[in-house]
Amino acid sequence: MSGLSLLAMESSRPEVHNRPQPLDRQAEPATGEDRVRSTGGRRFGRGGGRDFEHLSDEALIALVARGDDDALGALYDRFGRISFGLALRILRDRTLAEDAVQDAFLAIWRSAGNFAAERAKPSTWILTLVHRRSVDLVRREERRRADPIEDIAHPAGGATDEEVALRSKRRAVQEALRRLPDEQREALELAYYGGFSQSELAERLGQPLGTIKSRMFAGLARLRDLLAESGLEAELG
Amino acid sequence: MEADLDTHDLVAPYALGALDGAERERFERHLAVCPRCRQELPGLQSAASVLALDVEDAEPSRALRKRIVQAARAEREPEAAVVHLRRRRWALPAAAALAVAASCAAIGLGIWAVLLSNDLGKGGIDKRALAIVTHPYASRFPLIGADGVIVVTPRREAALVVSKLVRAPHGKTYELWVVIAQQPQPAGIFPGGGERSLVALTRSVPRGSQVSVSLEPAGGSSTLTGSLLFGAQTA
Repeated sequence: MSGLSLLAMESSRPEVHNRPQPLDRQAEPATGEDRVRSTGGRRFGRGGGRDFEHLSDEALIALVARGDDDALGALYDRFGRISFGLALRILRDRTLAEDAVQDAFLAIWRSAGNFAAERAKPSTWILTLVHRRSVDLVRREERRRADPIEDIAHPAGGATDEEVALRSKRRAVQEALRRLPDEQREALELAYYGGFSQSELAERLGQPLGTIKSRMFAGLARLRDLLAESGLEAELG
Repeated sequence: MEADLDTHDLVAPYALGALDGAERERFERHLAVCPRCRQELPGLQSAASVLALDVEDAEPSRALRKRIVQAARAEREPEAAVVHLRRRRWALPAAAALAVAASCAAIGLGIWAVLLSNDLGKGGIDKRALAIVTHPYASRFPLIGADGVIVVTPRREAALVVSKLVRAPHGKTYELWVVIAQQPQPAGIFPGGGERSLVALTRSVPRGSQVSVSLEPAGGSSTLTGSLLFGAQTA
């Protein structure tokens, strides 16, 4: 086990002195190959920082797949709030919700290379990962709340274009959910926000497992169609 | 095939995250060989994730972004988790250590605890480690690969003192090893972070053995899985 020799250990890592770099590399000059990764001729490095604003979500994920941690930060800037909102809704605890979001973004970091193969839109992929981590955590913590269907009021404040757009999307989702039969909406909401597994739901609702499965399928398929009608699905992914 | 039909049925619960671990694995195996489910899943999953929109956005702490980027970077370059400073001895000169130990004996550990706690952060003080590093006849062995020392008492109890070691990434921990005859034996875990880490080893350190630190999965490993980041040769 020569790896256990301290001398070998030291000499094999002469380059690691003075690492790591500061966390915030905004001020770092854009030099070196990794600073100018090709993105169809678009240039990073305005004022020494990197401008990801005009990159699509897919392009950001491609950079993340190549180990670009600045791109991961930019992806977080786009999806961090909605991710945290989702995790918080499920977990009802800020610390746990942050853990879930962190786990999910590290999963993104590790698996961004597989993203194309998932055949999902970026937002779907990211929110699915956040959702999965949150549900895993809520089941582990047994922190699930008795009534996950409670209506959380959405504040009317905020006036940026993004917030206005988000509010209109949210209305469309709520409208679509309203048009589902009650028992389908209930199955979707308890599963998605409550973190209940299909078997737990069958028990909780006193229904056969097969009934629960078909409510979930019918509800999701109907939701998909309603959202397609409203044009929301295409927009959101 | 009835079993297979059952598995098709799992596509909606899967999209909603409503399968438990075993069911999830079963469906993922099925998905790999079922074109119909692969066809169906993206639309259902997309509909499910739209439910995330019916949730109020919330502002996570500012530190979260930093933690994520830092943990990602540490995964890419595990050795970057260790800050290497110039070979400056943190350890007090022996005479000063003796003087300090003498005053400890006089005043008790309280004052020392207060003095050190500024450095050691919120984690609290490892009292056993403190007793080891202030032992008047302890030997000090400089770390190779990081800034700090291994302190060993005549009874071969040992403690690690290391400066500027960044906190272990999420899901990981630092683990101490006593390497005896090329065999690393686990000797305790610690999180790192803060200005300085002070940790007592959970096993004694025979003469001539090495003490090393690696990064391991959270909770620690019983056998070494990471590479050794830094350590010291004792005598």
